[in-house]
Amino acid sequence: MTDRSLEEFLAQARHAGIAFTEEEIPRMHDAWQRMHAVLLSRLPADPDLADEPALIFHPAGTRSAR
Amino acid sequence: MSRLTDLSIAQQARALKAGELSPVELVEAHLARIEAVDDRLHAFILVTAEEARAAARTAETEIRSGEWRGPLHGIAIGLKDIYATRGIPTTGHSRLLKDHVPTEDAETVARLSAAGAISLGKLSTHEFAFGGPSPDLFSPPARNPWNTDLQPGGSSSGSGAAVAAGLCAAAMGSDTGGSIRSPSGFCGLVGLKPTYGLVSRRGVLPLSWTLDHAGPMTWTAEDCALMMEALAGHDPADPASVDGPVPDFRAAIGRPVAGLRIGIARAWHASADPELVAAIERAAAVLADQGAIVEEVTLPDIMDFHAVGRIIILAEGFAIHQRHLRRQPEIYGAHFRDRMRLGAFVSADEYIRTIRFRRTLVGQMNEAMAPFDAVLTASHYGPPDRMADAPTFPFFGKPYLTMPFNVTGQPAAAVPCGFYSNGMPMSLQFAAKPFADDIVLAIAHAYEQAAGDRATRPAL
Repeated sequence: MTDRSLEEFLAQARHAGIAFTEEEIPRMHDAWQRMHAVLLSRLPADPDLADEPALIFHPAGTRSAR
Repeated sequence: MSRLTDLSIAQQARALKAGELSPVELVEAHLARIEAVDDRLHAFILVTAEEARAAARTAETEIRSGEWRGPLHGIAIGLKDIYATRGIPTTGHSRLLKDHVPTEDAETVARLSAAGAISLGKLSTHEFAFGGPSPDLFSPPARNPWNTDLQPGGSSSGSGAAVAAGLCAAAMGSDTGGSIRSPSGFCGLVGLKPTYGLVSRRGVLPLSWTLDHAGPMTWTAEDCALMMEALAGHDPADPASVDGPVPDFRAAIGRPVAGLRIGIARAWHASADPELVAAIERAAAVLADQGAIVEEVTLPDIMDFHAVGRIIILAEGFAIHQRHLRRQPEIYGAHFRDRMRLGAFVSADEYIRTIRFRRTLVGQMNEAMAPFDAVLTASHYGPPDRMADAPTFPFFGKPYLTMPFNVTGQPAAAVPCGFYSNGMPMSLQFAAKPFADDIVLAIAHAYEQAAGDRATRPAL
């Protein structure tokens, strides 16, 4: 756990409008790091610009809008 | 099996239809059972005894006059307290909604009522189907009736405890990453997560729109099929509800499994308790003896499903609760509050990459399952943890064996397969292709008839 990492975590929390107490910060920072290490790290690398769409919208009157 | 409340829905229904049993007598038996044991289980948040008695009297009159609605007529059920019930509080087991009283029933509640089922009340749940067995909510968390020092699983914790203990014959649960199948597994029940879109979620408090499923938890596979007959089918008011053919659940019960190809996903549950691994092999042998073709199947990496499902839950769940998590986080229990605030850190880019990866995984699963009618694996890795041992972030540990089928939307059921040497129920999991929910229950029933123990109930 580096100070830079903690700084980034707190900056993201402020940006998201989430306020942690002093008591919460260490365990939530640890959870945030684990979320990256265990979950987000498994996402494939960013797709190319020309890759197939990730999301599709169906206008009203056709299939259900998603 | 000596108690009326230990009979299955099918058994109770035959007696009710034949006039050998009255709904009034049956409801009173369940209410007495609740009175006798629920102080130790905390399965119910709210018992609606007078409403149940009134409904039982109505059912009795109808049945006596020949107005038989079907096998759920007069059957006592419980509703996870995320299902809207008109005039009756629906709290999500949260202080946030402690006084919330819906003006309309959830669609599934309305369908069960129309089928004649009688709700005994609202069942304990992890807070908003996500918060774990929290001791800091407005009422205690549910406990496992097989050993009240142990967790019943979740998030449909009260549903699992109630059905296993005979407090009601069936319960509604919900499943976003395993929340029907986990408590079903730990409490010795059959719990079906149906195909996504097969059962309406209108009126059910959401956790994750693209992962939530509504479904039944029962003592037997046949009972699950009877519940699904009433529940399944298009709801025009639910945008995620599929408008298409409904599987024939009644025909599934008793359908031979000979010729069905079942893939056993050994790699997924290889690290499970050795007793459970052995039980799953025995179950495979039972099905093979009945003519099923059981072979090994290699499914995609389960950790990828786990990561995708967990990221989606955090992102979508946070979007649902963000206003209160920002303004009054202290109103939630500690488990829910800590877990769900992680969703604030999932960026839009990460969420969309997750959706893209989800589609890749669905394609990989379709390809892996193409030669098979169903797959067999475990519902969980071992017996449940102690009530006091509830980590805030369990999802950073082993991947949930249930999550893949939420990610793909295909039907999956937890099915009892014996007992550990410590007396706790063991559970396996069957899954099939989308809209083959009947095949899941057909296999579950065939296995249960050949090898299942549906006579042993918790010794409460």
